[in-house]
Amino acid sequence: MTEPAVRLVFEYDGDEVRMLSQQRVELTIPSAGEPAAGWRAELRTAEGGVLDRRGLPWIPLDAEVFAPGVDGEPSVRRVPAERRTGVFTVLVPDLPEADHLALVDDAGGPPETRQVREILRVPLRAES
Amino acid sequence: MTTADGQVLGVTRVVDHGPPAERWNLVILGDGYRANQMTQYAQDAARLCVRLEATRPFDSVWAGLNLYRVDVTSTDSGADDPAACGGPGTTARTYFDASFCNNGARRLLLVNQATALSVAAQRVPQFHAVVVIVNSQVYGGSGGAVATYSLATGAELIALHELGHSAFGLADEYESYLGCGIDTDRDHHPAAEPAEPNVTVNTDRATLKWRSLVAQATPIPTTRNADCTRCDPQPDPLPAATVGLYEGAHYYHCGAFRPQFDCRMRAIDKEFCAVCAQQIRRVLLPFTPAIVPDVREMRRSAAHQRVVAAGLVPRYTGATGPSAWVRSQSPAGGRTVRYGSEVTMQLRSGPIP
Ligand SMILES: [Zn+2]
Repeated sequence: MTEPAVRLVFEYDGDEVRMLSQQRVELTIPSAGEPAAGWRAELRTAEGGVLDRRGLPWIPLDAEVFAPGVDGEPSVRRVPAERRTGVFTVLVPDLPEADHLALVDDAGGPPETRQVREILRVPLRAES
Repeated sequence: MTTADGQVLGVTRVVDHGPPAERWNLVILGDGYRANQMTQYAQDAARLCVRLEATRPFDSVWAGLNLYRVDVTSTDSGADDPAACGGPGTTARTYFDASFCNNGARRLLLVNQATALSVAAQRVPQFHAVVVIVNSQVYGGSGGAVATYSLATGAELIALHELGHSAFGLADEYESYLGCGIDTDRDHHPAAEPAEPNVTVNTDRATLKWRSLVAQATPIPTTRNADCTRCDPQPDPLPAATVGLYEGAHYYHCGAFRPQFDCRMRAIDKEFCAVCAQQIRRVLLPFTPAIVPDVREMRRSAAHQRVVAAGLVPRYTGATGPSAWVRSQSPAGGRTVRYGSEVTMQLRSGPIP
């Protein structure tokens, strides 16, 4: 269903994250699956209630490298990132009760010992 | 090396299934194409469209997708291919600054992602995913916020796999990290259940994530790896495409399981398994236009079907059926039409079932 949405673009270098843009757009937002461990975005009310959660599976500690499978190269392998750096987008519904977007790092593991760390909080602009 | 090394010429909706606000929109960008290579770029982009449409399960939800080709020129042809990774050491002045040899791996082909996302957002504000085709014959590609691939044979499959991660939330199903025969610390997967729908540590048939796709006669687990210090060498003991519980997944030899013996999330030249296909369909179905439930008469021309219909035009909700032959439809689903209303569908070839 078409709905008002906000697209945010971020740049990161290690744990330093910076918002590049925030844009309102009318589109159909894909359903959000259960976020995996790692980074995710949470759309929150001013009181901290979570309205929407989006996993950010493309923020890896490593990169996926494919090869055509000749000359003894593995057809797929992962190589650790020299620097964890890149860009990502977050698409969330534009809800009147939404106050800010938080980026968090979820260490994963069993719920009782799971550590979730907030990285950045970005206020949502009234107009953009 | 920068946006000074070329220009954005324009955008063409190369696969058009209706209003972008209602469709899942894929943006195709090109890097390392000179102005006199735009015809070749259009052909390369068209090949990606054909490949995607022929790929299960995109074929069954094709009417939910729009594909856009953004024409971008570069000063030079190709991409940087540094000598440090065994390349010839060539540099190319290109708009998105495509370069092989990232993280010490020649085949890791990256572009300036911020520029790619910015161009995509300017030209197609409703975009959902971005793929950059790099005009080089050296095999390479990458995933992330922007997927890339080169023109080497089969490299476009990298983009399909990477969309599996970034657009559909799928995990890797391969059982190695640095590679089979190289890893020494990938024997047992941690006990925590991964969130992704296509890998699990759970061996209980009653609570298995993909239990609805497992036949009663299929043993659970379906395979076990007899030697957790290495990748499992055994062939598939069951008929191809059986959904079960195969040990070896998510970068570990043992303790993590995948749904089928083969999948594009395990080896990119294979089809998506049934569980991954179901997840992709689940994401794309809300974008797929409707079918008409109560068809009173039909008239057909070469490319269009005109239908006189009544009732609610529903959104398509099945895995098979008319969306396999309806490319697009007007009006879109979710509206009530009066008897006598004309609904126009653009069809694939072949008879209507
Ligand atoms: Zn799969």
